[in-house]
Amino acid sequence: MDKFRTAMIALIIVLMSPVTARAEASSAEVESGSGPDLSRWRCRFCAFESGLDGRFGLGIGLAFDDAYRFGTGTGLDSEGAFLSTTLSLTKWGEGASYYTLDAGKLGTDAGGVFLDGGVQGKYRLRLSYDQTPYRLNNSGASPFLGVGTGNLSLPGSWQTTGNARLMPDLAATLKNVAIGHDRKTMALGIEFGSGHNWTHALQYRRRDKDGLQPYAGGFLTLSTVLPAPIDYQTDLIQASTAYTAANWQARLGYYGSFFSNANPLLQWDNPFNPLVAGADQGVLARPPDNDFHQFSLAGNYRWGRSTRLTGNIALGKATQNEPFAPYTVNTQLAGTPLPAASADARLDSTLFSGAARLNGKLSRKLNFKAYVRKQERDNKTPIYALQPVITDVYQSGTRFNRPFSFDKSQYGLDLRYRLTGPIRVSAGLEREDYERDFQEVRKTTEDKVWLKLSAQSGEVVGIGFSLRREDRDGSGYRPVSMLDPPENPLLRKFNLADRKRDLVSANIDVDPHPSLSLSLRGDYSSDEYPQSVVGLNESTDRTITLDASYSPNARISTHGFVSRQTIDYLQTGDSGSLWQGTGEDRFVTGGFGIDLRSEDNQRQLQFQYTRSDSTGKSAIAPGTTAVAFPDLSADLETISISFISAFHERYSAKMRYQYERYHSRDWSIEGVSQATIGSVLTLGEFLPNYTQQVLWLELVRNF
Amino acid sequence: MQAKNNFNILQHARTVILLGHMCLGMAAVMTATASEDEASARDYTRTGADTCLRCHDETSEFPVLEIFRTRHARAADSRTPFAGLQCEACHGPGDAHAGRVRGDEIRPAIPYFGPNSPASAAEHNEVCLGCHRAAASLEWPGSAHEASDTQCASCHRVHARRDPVMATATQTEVCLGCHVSLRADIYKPSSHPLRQGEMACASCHSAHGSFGEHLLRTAEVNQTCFDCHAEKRGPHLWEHAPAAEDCRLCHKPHGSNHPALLTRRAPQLCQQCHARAGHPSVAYTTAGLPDKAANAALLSRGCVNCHSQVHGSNHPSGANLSR
Repeated sequence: MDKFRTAMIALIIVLMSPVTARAEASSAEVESGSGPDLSRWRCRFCAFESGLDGRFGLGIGLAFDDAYRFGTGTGLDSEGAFLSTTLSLTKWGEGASYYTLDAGKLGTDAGGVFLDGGVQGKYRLRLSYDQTPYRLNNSGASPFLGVGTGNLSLPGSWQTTGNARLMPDLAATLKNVAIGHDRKTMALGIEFGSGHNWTHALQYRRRDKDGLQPYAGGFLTLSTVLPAPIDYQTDLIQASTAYTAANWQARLGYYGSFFSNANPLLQWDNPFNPLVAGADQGVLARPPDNDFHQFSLAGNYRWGRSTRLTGNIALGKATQNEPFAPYTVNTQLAGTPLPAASADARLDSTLFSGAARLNGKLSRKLNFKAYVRKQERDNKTPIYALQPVITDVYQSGTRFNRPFSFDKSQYGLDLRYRLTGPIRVSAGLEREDYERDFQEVRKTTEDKVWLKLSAQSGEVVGIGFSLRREDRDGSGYRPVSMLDPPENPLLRKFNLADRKRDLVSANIDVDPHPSLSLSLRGDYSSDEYPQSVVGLNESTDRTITLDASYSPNARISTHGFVSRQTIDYLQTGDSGSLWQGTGEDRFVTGGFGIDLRSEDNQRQLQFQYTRSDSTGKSAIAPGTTAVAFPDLSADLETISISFISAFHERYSAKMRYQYERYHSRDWSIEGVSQATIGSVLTLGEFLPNYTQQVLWLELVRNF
Repeated sequence: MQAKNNFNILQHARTVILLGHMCLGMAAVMTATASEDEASARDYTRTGADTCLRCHDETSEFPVLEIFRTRHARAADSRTPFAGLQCEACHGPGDAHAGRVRGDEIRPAIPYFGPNSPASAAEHNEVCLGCHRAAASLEWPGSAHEASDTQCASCHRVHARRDPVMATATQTEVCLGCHVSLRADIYKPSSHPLRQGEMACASCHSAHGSFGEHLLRTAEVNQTCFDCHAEKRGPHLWEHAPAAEDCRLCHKPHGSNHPALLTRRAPQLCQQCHARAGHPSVAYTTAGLPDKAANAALLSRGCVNCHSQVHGSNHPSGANLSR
């Protein structure tokens, strides 16, 4: 707490410095204007809303097919009818009270309800419940019983073998498993003021995640992909109190996160012949319960019209005290006591982050920003002498855990200068220092410098161009001890290695006519790792995007875009002799849309088409000849059409149609059944390809 | 720890104080040159909103009536425009704009928030911050959006009954209006559910400024991720240092061609940092595809087929992240 207290004092000294009085005087001058005579401002034409306002739609929807992956974010993964609703209502009460109710996707697993209300200027209440389904793949299958729990057992008749291809009971015992989860969030918040300058806010959220994820558990060379349960609950609390004055602000905040996992351990039966006696069951640790608390103090101070000092200090603490599992459940190997009683095992972390930013004008044309950021992850987890039993098969000897800590510091200066008229030049530099524990490089220093040029010609043409160079050097690469066999001395991990990074971007925006807007943007980035004989050697990312919109009048608007991105990399490995791996991900995405409204605004037609083609290429060159893998690909095509027609002063009909096709190729999944890899019993999923069509029909009551 | 010993908080506190007092000198320059334009009563229209609404009804090029279905138009709340200067509370004195013009004369622009309004971005924003300072301005000074002269009205539609940027389902489209190169990301095979309207840019980013990089909501990258992915927080007994340091070392949060938003897939991704003798160093080629040797390091989940605890393990035998 000493550090926290000292830093707080520093910030307070700055905020309470003697210029306060001067700045407040300046603010008072600002408010000295004379206003008009409001007695004639009767607002006779002001159509103030009272009572109920908004719309409520009810109807039916129809999903034409089963399409599990389409269910992500839509909840429409199964063929059939569903309730279609639109709800957007506001109740304007007496005085300044109001209540709004918005809801969407009700009748599906992606539904949400949001209530917002209160008395303006006094308090605001928010209450919501929201569901988001994540549907990844439902074509896998597993022989395990107890799916959804922390104990996966095999059927009593199961006969183990040494190879998944030879498991006699596998085909007959497979049961379908759906990989994905539902995220459900309930939130309650209140905001209120006290006095003229104080505002207070309190928010509570409870988030539940339920579902299944693939999680591998192995016995040395034999492994099983398990349908592991997701049964998580996180309580989140945020509270803040803030004071706002004419030329300064301060906010004291608290953030708390409390995570709990109903299945901190996952036990499973080994479907393979035990490699050693007793290795017929395994236990995995799943995400442990954890708590996180963070207190923060943020503020800013303004001198005159444009100079501001902004700062933030946050002190956090993350803990987890999940009881340890035993070293092994193999009774033939057990016997070594844990160095800490399981219930007493405690892992602490202290987090510190702060930022201060000073910006303003040095002259009428020159703006500056100076900033410093610091982040410290101080891991206070005790270092234990542990006797791991590797995958329940053998004892590895004494190993010490390595509680990872780092300090990150960034210092920067940014200058912006307005040249003649609309031409602006900005330049900046930043130094980023990283200090890490238990890593191959103790300290890295990265210097960054950039230059930007932008110009605007009226509202017709705007251009921008920027260059950025980053140069990272390490303090020396020393392989970490305690590894057996040791790490390859030629390896340089890419987050620690010396690196030269160049970034270039350019854009031109042209509005040749008030109704037409064109934007072309290109981005290029290149990373080179000159000292990395083994590891990532280089990577580049190139993107070009064209965006256009055309709106000849208020009733017609169209827009379109096309984008092409290529990401490639080169890496080197060493298996006695050096080998190279290359990869390229290419994305071509485009789409267009049109929005038409009738002259009387009673009918609206919207159309949107988007297509995205993703390709992944990779090759390995173990010698002089590269061997290319089959291409990865994923094509997504969506069409959306909606039509709204008001056939009565209070009623309208709404129709929406969506078509979506997803087609992918992936050599890591295709042709891989549960038993294809003899040493790994997988879930044997198929590609999650689909074509889905959905139709919504609603009758809408307008209020 | 070594890193901690080199981090001297007192030294940095002194830096903050020094920066603060540097401002004092510059503040003297600033306050000497600052001046405020003062509007007189004659610059305002004679009848306020009634003057404006004679032209700006639903048939005009710039219809405004929907504002009466918003919280800005609540005369009972003394803080709102319609409890005071009505339209001109935000748009500025409008007498010149509303006055008569001859046939070939160009109508004077409204001072704020209109086509060709002469005010700068900062001046426009000051109008909004005059009321919304408490809610929106603490992190705004010096933020990326302020530095790029972004106006509040670039994102917010004050006259709309429901401001699109304030709703999760419609916000992303607003942001992509400027951040055009990110539009393709939300259609990538692995992406957060933004195009379905279940997440929005503000789920991770704070458009009004932040103390972290890339306008992230929190000062630390991982803390932003942990808000939804709290199960990854640990701290674990056996840590995987890159996961504890920065999720972006392995994940591309805006979208990827590989499962779980990974930058690349296993085994190549893992082999960029692991090259020990034995299976981490092997060049896995097409000889490991399903119709050939069906290699465990290549197919299904690759390295993760065994080393499943890539975010860290809390198992006392989890040293190699397989328990």
